[in-house]
This record gives sequence, structure tokens and C-alpha cells, in this order.
Amino acid sequence: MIDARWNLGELAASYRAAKPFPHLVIDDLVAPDTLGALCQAVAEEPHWPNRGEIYNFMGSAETVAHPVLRDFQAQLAAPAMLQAICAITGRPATRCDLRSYVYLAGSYLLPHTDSRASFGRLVAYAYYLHTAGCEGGELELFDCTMEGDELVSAKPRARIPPRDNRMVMFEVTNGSLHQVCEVLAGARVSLAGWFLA
Amino acid sequence: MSAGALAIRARFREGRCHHVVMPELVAEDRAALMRAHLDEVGFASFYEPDRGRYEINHELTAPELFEELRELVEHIVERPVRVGPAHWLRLRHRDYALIKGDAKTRAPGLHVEVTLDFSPRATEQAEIVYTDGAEAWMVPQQPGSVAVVERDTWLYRYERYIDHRVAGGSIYRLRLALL
Repeated sequence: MIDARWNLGELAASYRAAKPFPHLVIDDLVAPDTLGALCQAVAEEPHWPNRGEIYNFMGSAETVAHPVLRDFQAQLAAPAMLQAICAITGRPATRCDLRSYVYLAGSYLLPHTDSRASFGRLVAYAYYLHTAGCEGGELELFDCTMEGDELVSAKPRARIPPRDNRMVMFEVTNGSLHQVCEVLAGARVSLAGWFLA
Repeated sequence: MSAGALAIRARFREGRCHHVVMPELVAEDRAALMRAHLDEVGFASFYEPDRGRYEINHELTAPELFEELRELVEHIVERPVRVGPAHWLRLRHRDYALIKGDAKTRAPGLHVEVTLDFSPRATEQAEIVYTDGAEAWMVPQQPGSVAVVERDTWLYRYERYIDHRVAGGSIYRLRLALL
């Protein structure tokens, strides 16, 4: 997954400079045949409707079952990858989790921060596998005004469109407010989770 | 008291969250007049991403309607109540209201919350969900309906996101606290 294209110094500088809070977009993360295998694995992984206060989408179980997906998760959690994540983000992750998601038309994830003190989430990531024909589904990041740890106001600042083989990662704090905009047509298939303490 | 009224009382008292939804209580011609009046008076846009997005009017009062609802609710909850804060909502595509917003704006203490839906049509969206964090009780979006919910301090509310299927439609609600 990590190859000679990864200039960690440049990626770290880009991550730190990104607004409204540190984030990074990496395109063409894996080779096309690997992407195809991951798409096929998600198609074979069971997904169920998930609906709650802030979300409506199809999601896998909290632990993925398909060997290709488990192998991908293991690659994300491999020492070399965790060292790269630490070099880019400054966050010393020791592991990562992973679920697969299918957002069909009408799916959404409303604004939230991901920050839960006891969960040890350091860096969030989303990796888009299949987005052909997808309208909407952008990752939107908000510029927050904080009073201490309390979020008092927020405005939309950046929108990252989903694209096949694109990974987005961002820092998790009490101010990392973000959402997945409603998918208006097509499908947005992704793997997502957190690099954890 | 009629058998129907007694049945409503009984339904209200069922379960941990005391609530009842009464369909078809407001006729469409009356609802249409209310919508026209609200559209003319106007709404203020509210958008705090982690609290909600909707249009709201806190200013408009409707004493006769509020009194009608107060009398109705007294028969259901079997205790005296008085009219408290009220607001009017207009919800469209991409609107929602979250628990964090409810926590900041809810009436204090035990009270009864009335939601009158005077929308032009049913959308099968924007359901009102009351929750204690574990269990949830849902009020469907039904034009002409009146929902009566006893809100104890452990009960919070959110209103589900409205997706593109609503197209150009709007949902209209009056929310009245009875103290």
C-alpha cells in the first residue's frame, strides 16, 4: 500500500496545513487489481440497514468477515503503515478498525466529530471503492468555533468528493465536525474506520 | 366521557413513554389557512450543523388554537396544564433536528409536548423520535395529526433528516409546551 510515491514529509506538511482541520486526500491508493478484489469482497460481505439519529446507510458488521477485507485491514494496521500514519499525522496509532459501507440514494451521515474519549480514535479514514454514477456523498468538513472543549458554532468549509481508489484521513478532536452529504443518486461504496491509540 | 376518549387516555398511559398520536384532528382546509398565514408571516432560518437545520418562527401566537390544544390535553393527561412556549417549524429537503439542539431548547422539567402537523401531504419522512438513549418511540409525519407526549427529564427528541424524495415539499409543525 505504501510505495515510493509517498513522500511522508510532504504528506505531513499537506495534512497539517489543511483547513478547517488537519486532513489529507490520497488518490490511487492501491493497484487496480487490488481495488477490483476489494470491490468484489464488499459485494460478498453482508450489509444491513443502519438507521439512527444522525445516519442512514447500509453497513457491514463491526468486524468484517471477508478474507480480502480482513487482509486489507491487516495491511492498514501493519507496522510500516502505522509508522507512516504517525509520520503524517503525529498521532501514534497502534491499530485500526474497519467496516464497509454502502450508501444508496437517500443515505447520509449528519454532522458529528467522531470524538469519544474512551474509544481512542486518533485519525479517521474513509477509502472509496466504488463511486461511479454517485451524485452527492461528499465528505464535508466544518470550521468550528470552540469554547474550551465545547463546540459553539460551525460553518461548512471544505467538501471532498468521493472518487474510486481515494483515501481521506483526518484528525479526530472535539472540533473535527464533519458529515457525509446525502447521496442523491447512484451508490457510494467505502471502507472506513479509525486509527486507534 | 366517550369510549373513544377513554381509549385515547389508555393509549397515552401505555408504556414507559406516555404518548399518543391522534390522526385527522385538523381538517385540510384549516391546515391550508395555517400554512398560508405562516408563509406570509415568515420563518427564520436555523442552521447549526451539530444541532439542526430548519426554519422556525418563535413569535407568532394563536391563543384560540393553543387553548383548544390545552383543553384537549387536559382530558388526556388528567391534570391541569397551562400554555407554555410555542414555535412553528417548516422543514424541507436536507432539514433535521438533533438531540443536542433539543437539550439546549427544551422546556424545563416534566411537561407535555404537543406537535400539530399541518403539512399538505404525508412524506414518510421527518419522523419525530423520542428516546431515553436505549428505547425509542416514534411519531410519524401525518398531516392533520396531533401528537401528545409527556416529556420527563430523561426523554429527548430528534427529527429525522429529510432526503431528496420530498422534492420541493414542505412539512409544517406547531410545537407547544404545556406546563
